[in-house]
Amino acid sequence: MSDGELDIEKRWMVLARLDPQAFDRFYDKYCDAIYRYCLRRTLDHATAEDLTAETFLQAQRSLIRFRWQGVTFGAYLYRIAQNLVRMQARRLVREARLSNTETALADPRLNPLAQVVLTEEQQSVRTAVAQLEASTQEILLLHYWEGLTVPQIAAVVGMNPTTVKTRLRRGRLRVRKLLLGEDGDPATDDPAGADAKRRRDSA
Amino acid sequence: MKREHDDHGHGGSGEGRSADDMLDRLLRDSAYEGRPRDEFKRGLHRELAHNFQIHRRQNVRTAVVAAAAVVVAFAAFQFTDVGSDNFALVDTGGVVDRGVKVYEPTFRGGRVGGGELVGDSVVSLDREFLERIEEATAAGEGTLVGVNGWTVAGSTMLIAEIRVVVDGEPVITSHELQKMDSAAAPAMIRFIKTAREDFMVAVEQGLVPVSGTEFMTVLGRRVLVTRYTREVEGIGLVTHWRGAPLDGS
Repeated sequence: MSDGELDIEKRWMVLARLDPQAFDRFYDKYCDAIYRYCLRRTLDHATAEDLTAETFLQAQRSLIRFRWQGVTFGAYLYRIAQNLVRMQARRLVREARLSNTETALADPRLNPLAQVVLTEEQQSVRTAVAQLEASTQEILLLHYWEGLTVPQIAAVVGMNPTTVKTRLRRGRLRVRKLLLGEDGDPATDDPAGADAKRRRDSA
Repeated sequence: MKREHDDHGHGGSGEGRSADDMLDRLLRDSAYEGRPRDEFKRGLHRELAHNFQIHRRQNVRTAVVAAAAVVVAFAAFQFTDVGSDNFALVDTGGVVDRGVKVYEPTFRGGRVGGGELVGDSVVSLDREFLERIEEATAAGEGTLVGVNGWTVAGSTMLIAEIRVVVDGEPVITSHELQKMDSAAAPAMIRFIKTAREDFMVAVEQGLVPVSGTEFMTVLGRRVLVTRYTREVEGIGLVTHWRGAPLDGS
């Protein structure tokens, strides 16, 4: 994100509060990204559409109260989407009668669609990521899936950038260990590690 | 937002670097890709535009209303021969000594505020609802909430923003108080296309000097109107008019 990009969005915001057509610019810029964010977590197009729509409707309703925090409007949209996805995940957890609510965001084991739409490799990685603490999962995925910068992630998850950077590094190391089967018990709760180990052994 | 991948504790050796790169690739590639359907995007776009209207109606703020109203009014001015059917304008002789203009709109059953003349993103009301707005406005049930306008190439257009309640829902309609001279149309079009946004932003940010204030009486209410004027490259002097009724008027 450049200062120029932020300046342009600040102009858009002034206009969006005056003219609905100006809000279109935010919509055009972020609709696909927010949709992808929702889709990657839910794996379901219909749910992703619902969550995307609700994200923009919520953002629009609170437009007048929006305050800049040094990052683009997109970070604000991601934050709304994140809360909505979490609510959706909690519903999944309740339905699946799981006790660990932190596994819901990316864990393909929670979502039967994962078996259909994801490759084995994708499932392995997502299962490994799902072992991380919820906020670290989110930081890692915002970085790798959505391509956000550390300051942008900090704005989305409501942490300071230093903490984000630390968690990003630690999360990444933990995923690496999980995939290599060096963390936890790969035979039981770490299928990603088991898969990786199996691939290494077969190689 | 641009994709950015920082170095987060990657190993330094060539082999370590390669393993790190592979991990980064695995993590990136674990994203499930897809894009929204065009039909969904269009539908949500329409819903947002519609909601903006409702939101705007529920939060009557003259400043917020001004720009969209001018767009609506200008659409009517530019593309149709609506004239000033909604109002019979009684101008008491321009700015008199006390700086008072009197506008006495008389409804003649004309079309409401150019609502059907602009795209969905500005007005998304159906015809039946528009007709009910028209009836309510013509019945004198409207309340003035603001006045705004533009002077370009020496010609001025003024718009009244009127609030009416239709089916229990408050609605803002735009009514032309003063029509712009057709000779000024090319300059106005050029201004809207190239400089209106900058001008509005500058006004919001307090960067355009106030060139004057004056009182008007519109729909029986006393309105204090502020004018903001500055030179616009390729257009000449441009003035934005913005006013709200005085409390208790």
